[in-house]
Amino acid sequence: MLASRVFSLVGRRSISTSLCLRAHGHAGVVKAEDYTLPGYVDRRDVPLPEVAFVRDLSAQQKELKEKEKASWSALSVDEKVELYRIKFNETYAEMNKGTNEWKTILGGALFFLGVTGLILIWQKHFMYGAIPHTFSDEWLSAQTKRMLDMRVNPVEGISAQWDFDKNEWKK
Amino acid sequence: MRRLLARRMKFHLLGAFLVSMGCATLYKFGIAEPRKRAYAEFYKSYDPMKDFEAMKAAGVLECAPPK
Repeated sequence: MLASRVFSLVGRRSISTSLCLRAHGHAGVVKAEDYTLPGYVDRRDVPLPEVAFVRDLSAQQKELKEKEKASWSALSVDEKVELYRIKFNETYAEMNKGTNEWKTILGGALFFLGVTGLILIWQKHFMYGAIPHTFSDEWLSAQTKRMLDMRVNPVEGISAQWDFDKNEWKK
Repeated sequence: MRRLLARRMKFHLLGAFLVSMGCATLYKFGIAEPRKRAYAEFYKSYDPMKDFEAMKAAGVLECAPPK
């Protein structure tokens, strides 16, 4: 009910779309838009599309279509290929053919990784402050010594790489 | 196009089986077995008391100072 109120407020003229305007000139029948009709598509999983590829045949092609109604052994190879091309756009081989798109994609991805790297370098140089004092060499060696004293990961880890008798790293 | 799905499915089923079994085998013999051997070797000649005395002497045990 509210919709009809809006209708009378807005007026009929602005409701007319381009389709409706066209309809008023053609006895009320709207021409079917292309996107509403069955379409042709080149897809691996659609072996027989809904329509043939060539919609409007030339005179020569129309003749060929007439000849197709007779025995097919009368057709030459070229005529058969022409009939195929009327029906289909690309062969399966042409459709499945690989492109060189992967090179573009890989190049683009690596390029942007490089840009990211440059940004990170700029950040480290201009933006970040000093790293904590616990990363200094003295602190790290004291830290490692304490880890070895505690026998951290003695089976497969750091204490397994240290020779406790000779007091040096295992060769 | 004949038997397109069947052919593709056979190829991929076989491939998936081989790849997954291969990964499992590689993991078992590359990681799991060496790890088990490392642990067995370690504990064969492990003396916990000697280890304890060493740690005590190094001073890392708060309740057992190296006095």
